[in-house]
Amino acid sequence: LATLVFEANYGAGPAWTAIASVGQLVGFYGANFNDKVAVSSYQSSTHISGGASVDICTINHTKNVTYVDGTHFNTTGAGNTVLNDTNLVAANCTLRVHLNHSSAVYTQNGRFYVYNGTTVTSYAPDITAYAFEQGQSATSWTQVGNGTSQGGDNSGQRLTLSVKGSSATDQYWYVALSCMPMSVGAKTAFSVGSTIEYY
Amino acid sequence: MSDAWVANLSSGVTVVERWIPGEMSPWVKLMELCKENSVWVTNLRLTVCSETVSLPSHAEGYWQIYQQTVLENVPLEKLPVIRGIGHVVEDVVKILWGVRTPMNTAYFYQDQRSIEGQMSIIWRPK
Repeated sequence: LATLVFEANYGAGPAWTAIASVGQLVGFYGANFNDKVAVSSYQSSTHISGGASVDICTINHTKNVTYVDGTHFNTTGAGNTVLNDTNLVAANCTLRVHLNHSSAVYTQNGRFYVYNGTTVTSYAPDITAYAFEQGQSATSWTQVGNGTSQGGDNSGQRLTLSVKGSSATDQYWYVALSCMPMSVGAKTAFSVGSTIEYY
Repeated sequence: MSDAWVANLSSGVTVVERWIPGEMSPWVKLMELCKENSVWVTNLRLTVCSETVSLPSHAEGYWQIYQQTVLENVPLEKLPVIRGIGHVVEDVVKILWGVRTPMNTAYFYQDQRSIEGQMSIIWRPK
């Protein structure tokens, strides 16, 4: 009946493209794909990786949104822009959550979370993460993981997604996500998830 | 029988969940049917994997929802199908969640939440 997928805006066009549910991951890097991110720094680029660490988004990389502080971001690795719907447009968000149904549905109680890749209610260790939903007049990031105790699909530790009060067969949520390693080494106990209720 | 909710209405009519592509969801259709005909739900039950659970009859209101999840690098067929039915008691929706596991087995569990923000409730007239 319904499908819920993550999409990223990359490739020719670019265009919002579904991230395969097997073998593709959203990844956060330094200046380029596979570049490390310094401890206590946020990523400078975002990519979709496939098997064997292949960069899937070779033409028009996935949009990157870097956390600067609670109310600022940048998209290029430099600069400092006030976070709001005007400055961060939907097309520049990291991910799009897409619900498709053969019938028109309303939604409620949506949420986006970062977890350890195994248990949705467990935080991703040693990663600080912030998220933002575009299009809801928000002006600040929401912390969705502090790397030590907070994160996962838990109230107050995830991003609440907007209610869709108009029914449609396709519903979308635009999300920016930025991550910072708190220790040396690749962070593999990290994954993203989203849950939507509909009727 | 496939997974579905079944609602008994105050008019004596029984409505069985049926999705038709391109049309409104069956619950929204039921909400409109109740509003337009001044009838209400008197009982609601849910079948998952041939197991059926029922809510108490003649509650103040009834509620229904589907829950869909996407997890990075987890195929859809490995995720359970979760849906809930509920009834209103004072300012709370008491929920029975039904889960169809990837192995096509079912289990149910109880939960509750505030009625605040729950737009899918079909109320009994005061």
